[in-house]
Amino acid sequence: MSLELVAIGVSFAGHRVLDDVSLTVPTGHTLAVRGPSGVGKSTLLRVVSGLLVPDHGRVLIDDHDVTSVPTHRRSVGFVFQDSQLFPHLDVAGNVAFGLRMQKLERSLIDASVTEWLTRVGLADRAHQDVRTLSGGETRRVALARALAPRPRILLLDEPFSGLDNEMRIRLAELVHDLLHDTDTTALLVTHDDDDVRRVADSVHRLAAAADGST
Amino acid sequence: MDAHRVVNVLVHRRDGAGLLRGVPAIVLVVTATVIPFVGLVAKVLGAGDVFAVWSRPGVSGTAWFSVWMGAVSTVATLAIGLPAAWIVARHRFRGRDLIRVVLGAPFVLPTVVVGAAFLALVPGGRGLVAIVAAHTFFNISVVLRTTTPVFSAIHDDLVDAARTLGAGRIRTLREIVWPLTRSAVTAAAGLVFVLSATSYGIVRILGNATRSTIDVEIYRRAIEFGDPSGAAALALTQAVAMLVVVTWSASRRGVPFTTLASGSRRRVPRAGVLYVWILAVAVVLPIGALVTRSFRGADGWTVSGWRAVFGGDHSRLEGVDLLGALGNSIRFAAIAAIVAVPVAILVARPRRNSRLVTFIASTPVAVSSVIVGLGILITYDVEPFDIRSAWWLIPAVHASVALPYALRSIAPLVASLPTGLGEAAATLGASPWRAWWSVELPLLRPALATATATSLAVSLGEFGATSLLTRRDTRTLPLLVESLLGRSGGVGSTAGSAAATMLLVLTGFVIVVLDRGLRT
Repeated sequence: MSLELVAIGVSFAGHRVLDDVSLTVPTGHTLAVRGPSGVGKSTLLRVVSGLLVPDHGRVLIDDHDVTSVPTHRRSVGFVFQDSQLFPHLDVAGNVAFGLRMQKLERSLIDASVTEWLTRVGLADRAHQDVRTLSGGETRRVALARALAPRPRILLLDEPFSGLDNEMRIRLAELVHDLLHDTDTTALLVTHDDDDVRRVADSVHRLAAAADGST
Repeated sequence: MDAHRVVNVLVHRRDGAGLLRGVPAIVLVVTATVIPFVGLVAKVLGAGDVFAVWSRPGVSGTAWFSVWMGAVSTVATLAIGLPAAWIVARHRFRGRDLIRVVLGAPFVLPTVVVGAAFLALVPGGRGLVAIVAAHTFFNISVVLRTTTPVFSAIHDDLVDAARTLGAGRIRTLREIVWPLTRSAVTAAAGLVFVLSATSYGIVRILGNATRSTIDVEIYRRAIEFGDPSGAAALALTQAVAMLVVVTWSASRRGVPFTTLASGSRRRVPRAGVLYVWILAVAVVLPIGALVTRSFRGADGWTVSGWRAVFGGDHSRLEGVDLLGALGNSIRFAAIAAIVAVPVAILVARPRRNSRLVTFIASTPVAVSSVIVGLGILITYDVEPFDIRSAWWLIPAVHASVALPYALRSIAPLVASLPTGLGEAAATLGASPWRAWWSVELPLLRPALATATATSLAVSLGEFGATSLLTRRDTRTLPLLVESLLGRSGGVGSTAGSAAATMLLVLTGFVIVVLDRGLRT
């Protein structure tokens, strides 16, 4: 699944955040988006996921225009900065959520949840309360939850922030391996050069929007 | 131990040994709520046939009406109030603070003012529609106060996460938002149901022969039919039933979660903002109708209502003494606040809320004030405790009704005071009293302002207990409003609206001017 953004523009309250941003991510590749804070990196991810409709420009997945497809039908996975695990569901419940939305059979869901928990090394934590997980475990559940429904594109917003260095390296390697194994196309927002080296195939630099106001 | 040390342990110690500090609160709550309730139970147990009252004409119908009207009011309030609470909690937009104030205001209005306002809004509007509308008006503020904190704690990204996993709006609402907010919504629903089913002031004004609640029936049995045993049996049944509802609805387990709300990022839905603005206007409407009604007679605009209540027209409104009632109301409110606020200060403890604080703060929900009034009427009729006709009984009851509200304003701030301040003052040579007076008290000033204003407002609007305990010389403004509106003929309702407007202005003055003015 390839991703292409064409001339994306977004303004908030007259302030231009994204100004004619265009980029292409070939199938199976991981593109890191870099740039100073406030430059609209997270906004770009929100546009790709459909959480934000751009003022102009188009989002193409496999050459199909999905700009007006609502988020929940777009099949774009999102790993949020603070993971945002559902506090009322256990580990397995979180990973199963996206699969349940696809109305899969119960046995298929269970099998897939077990498979993904094994992949992220949390097979024995299926019924743990997510509020008791450590920082690294929380990120791994978020990763499994986003990947389990087999999204066409995976978006990662600062997925390693707030972790200690060793955990950061291990998680980055895990992300790299998972993306490769599943041949998933991904967009990664980070401010860390090492993360980029460990995970991404190429880098796109976002410059500040040309004009502060419209 | 020398005397100085004894005083120190009993009064000043912060570790829970300052026993004396809780005594005034205990005395107040025990004499004004606990003993009367025990007296009520004793009366019921002593009566021959406890259930006889249920076979009297109209009684079971009244109970049934309380239940289903309470349910209808709850559904209407939640249907209108929850979306508004959601929008106000999660979006920032111009005028949001104003809308919060407007939608939260009905809660502090006296119930007879709410009743009078809807009587003015819907001419000849006694009956089900007016009652449910008035309860919705009043309880939207309850829903807002109880659910907004939880709604605003749900992070936008949490909702977005569900969307990226393939959940549409409805499924997100059902599978993410509802499980996280269920306990708050259920607690709000329980509270609204109890407040509607045990409604008294509003139903006294807007009800009629077939539209009447248990609480009104309790009053009529006790005062008009001379059947205190029957009233006590109804009161006990009501109290137990409501206690069950409150306990059940407040005990629904929620998922505790803490996230930081972002709030402002999401683009504001125009329809939602329009909705809360319309609702705010709808809340102002009955108040406007009330004020207008006080100037409307059968032949158009008139000040005859105002002249009548101020004693200018004795021939048409016999026995109306607005200035007397006004004087009583202000006097009782002042006494209630002067008693309740210091008692609340004494009982609130630094660093933690004791069980006593929690118990007192939760009593007003558990026991309706009609039942308190009835309990006092029944219990204190034995010499030398026959104090039912003492004038100070009413302000004393008002103080006990106001105490929980005063405590709710003061206790959180006292609990959060850094204890180091008093210790620092002590090392600088300040006695415990001096340290308290010149360090802690000034810090408590905003809470004291709120507690005082709330106590005054509660007393000014108190109708349930007062209506059972009043005599000719202790009538208050709410009682005058109710009796004027109950009279047939146009002057009664015009004059009643005028008196209700007076009460509205007085309450508004207390809340706005005193609360704001004393804070700084």
